[in-house]
Amino acid sequence: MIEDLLGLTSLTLISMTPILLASVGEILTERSGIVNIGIEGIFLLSSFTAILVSFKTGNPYLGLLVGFIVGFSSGALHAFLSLYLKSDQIIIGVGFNMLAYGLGVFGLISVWNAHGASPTLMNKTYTITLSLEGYTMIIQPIAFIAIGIAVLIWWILYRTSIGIMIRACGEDPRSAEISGVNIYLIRILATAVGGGLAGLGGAFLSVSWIGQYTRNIAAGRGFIALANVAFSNWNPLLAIAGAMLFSFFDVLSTYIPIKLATLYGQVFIAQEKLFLILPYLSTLVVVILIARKIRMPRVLGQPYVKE
Amino acid sequence: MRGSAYRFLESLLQPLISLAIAIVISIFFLQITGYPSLRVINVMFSTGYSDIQYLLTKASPYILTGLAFSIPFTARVFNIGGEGQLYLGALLALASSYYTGNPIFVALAGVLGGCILALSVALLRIYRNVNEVVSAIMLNWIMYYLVSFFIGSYLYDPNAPYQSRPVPSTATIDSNIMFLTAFMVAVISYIILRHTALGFMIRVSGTSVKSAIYAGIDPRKSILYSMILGGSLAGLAGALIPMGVRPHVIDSTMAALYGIGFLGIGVGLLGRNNPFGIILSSIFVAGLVIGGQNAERITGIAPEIVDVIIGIIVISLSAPMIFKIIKRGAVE
Repeated sequence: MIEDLLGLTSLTLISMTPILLASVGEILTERSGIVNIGIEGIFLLSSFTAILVSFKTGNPYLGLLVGFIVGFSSGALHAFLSLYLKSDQIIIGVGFNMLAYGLGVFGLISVWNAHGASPTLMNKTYTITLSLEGYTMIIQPIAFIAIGIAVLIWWILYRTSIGIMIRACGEDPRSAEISGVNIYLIRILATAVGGGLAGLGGAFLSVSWIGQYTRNIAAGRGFIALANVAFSNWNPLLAIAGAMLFSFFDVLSTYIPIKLATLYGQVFIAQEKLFLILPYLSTLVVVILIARKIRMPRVLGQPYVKE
Repeated sequence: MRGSAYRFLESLLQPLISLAIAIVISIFFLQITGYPSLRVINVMFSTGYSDIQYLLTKASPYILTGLAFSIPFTARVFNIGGEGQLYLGALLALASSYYTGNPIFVALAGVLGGCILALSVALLRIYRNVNEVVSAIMLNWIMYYLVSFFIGSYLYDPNAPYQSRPVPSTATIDSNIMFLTAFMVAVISYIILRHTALGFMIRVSGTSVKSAIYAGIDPRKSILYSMILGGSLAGLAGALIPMGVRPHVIDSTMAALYGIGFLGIGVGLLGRNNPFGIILSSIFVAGLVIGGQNAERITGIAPEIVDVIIGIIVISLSAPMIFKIIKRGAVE
C-alpha cells in the first residue's frame, strides 16, 4: 500500500512536469493576448530534437537546452506569423501540430530507421532515490524546478512592472500602447518564452522521463496543458494544482492495468484501452465543471492593428 | 477586373502560392537532411495522380471530413474533432452492419455516431462555455481508445482477433458509389450553405456575431446546426471506409482511419471552405497521400512528409498578409 502511494506520488510528479511547464508558458503567452494551440507540436519537435542531441552528445542536459531553444523558436515564429502576417492564431497552431507530427515521424525514420520508437537513452537526467524504512522513491529534481518556474512566472506577472505590461497587452492593448508599451515586443517575448517552457517540457518528456522518442509521444498532453490553462483561470499558482490533478489521472491510467495484471496474473490487452481513456475523460469532466467560472484575457487571439 | 472571374482566379491563386511555399520549404528541408529532394517530390507528384480509380476512392473520405471542418468553420466554430467523429461513426456502422446488412442503415448509423459527438461538443460550447478545441481533442482520444476497445473485445473476428469482423457483403458498396456519395453530399452542402435560410444563418454568424444578432439570428443556433451537419459528415466518412474499401474491416490500431479527420482540416482550408473547392482539394490531398506512400516505397522516406507539406500549406494559407504582400509586389 505504502509502496503504491510512494510510486503514484513519484510518477505523478514526473508526469506533472511537462504539463506544468507548458501550462505556465501558455499562461504567459495568453496573458499577453496571443493564443498558441501548437503546444502539442512543440512537445513533439522538442522531445525529438532533445533526444537526438542527447544521443549524439551523450549529455541529456544539452538535450533539455536544445528542447528549450526549439520551443522558443517555435513560439517566436508563431508570434511573428500572428503579429506581422496577421495569421489566424488557431489555424497556425493546427498547421504547426500537423507539421510537427510529420517531422517527428520523418526524423524517427530518417535517423533510426524505426517506425514506432527510437532506441532507449541510457543516461537520462539526474534523479534522486530516497530510501525510507525499506521503501524507495524516485524524485526528478526537474519537477521541483518546474514548480519554481511556475512561482517565478506568477511573481513576474503579478509583482513586477513587466508583468503589468504583459497583462495590459492581453486586456487593453490600445491603452497599453498609449502609455508607451511596445505591444509587439512584449507579445513576441511572451510567446517565445512560453514556447520555450513548453519545449523544455517536451524535452523532459523524452530525455528525463520516457528515455526514447515514440511516434506521437505527446499523446494529447499539449491539449491537456491548454485545458489546464483554463482550469487555472490563467493563474500560474493554480496551474500547479491543475497539472497535479491531470497527471494523477494520467499515471492511474497506466498504473491500474499493471496493478491488475500483477494481482490477477493476467494481461488485459483489450480492457487496458478503457483505462487509457482516464486522463482525457477526467480532463474533459474537469473542464466542463469549471468552464463557466473562467474569465479569459479580453483580447485573446484577436489580431492587433497598430495605429 | 473586379468581377467574379477575378475573384475566382484569386481564390485559386492563394492555395497555389501556399503549395509553392510548402514545396520550396520541403525541398530545402529534404536537402539538408540528405534525401534526394527533387526525386522525392517528383515521385510524389508523378505517381500520386496516375490511378484515377484509387485516387477518387482515397479522396472520398477527405471530401467528407473536409466538409466536417468547413461547415462549422463557416460559422466560426473550430471542429477539430472530425477524427473522433469519424471513429465513432465507423464503430456504429460496423456494429449495425452485422445486424442489418443494409448499406443505407449502416451509413445512417455512421452519421448518427458523428452527429452525437459533434452535438456534445456544440452543447458544451453553448451551455458550459467549454472551448471546442479542447473538448474535441479530448473526445478524439477517448474515441480512439473506446473504438479500439470495442473492436478488440466485442467486434473482433475470431479468425483474426486484431481486426473487426468484415462488413457483411450485402452492406458493402462499390468504391465508385463511395465517391459518388461523397460528391453528392458536397453538392448538397453547397446548396444548403448558399441557397437556404440555414446556410444564410451559418454564413452570417461566421462573418460577424454582432450583425447576426442584429439580423435576429441566434449565433448559438448556428454553432449547433453547423456542428450537427459537420459531425454527421465525419461520421458518414467513418461508415463509408469499411463499407467501400476492401477488406471491409477496421483493425484495432485503426490504421485505416487514423489521420483522415485531421487531414480534413487541411482539405477544408485548402478548398477555401467551398464544397466544390473541397472536392478539388481532397483529390489533391489524396494524390499527395498516395504519392507519399509511393515515395516511401521508392526512396525510403517517411510518408508523413505529406503531413509536413500540408502543415506548411495550412500555416501559409492562414496568413492573409503573405498574399497582400505578393499582390502589392505584382502591382508595382
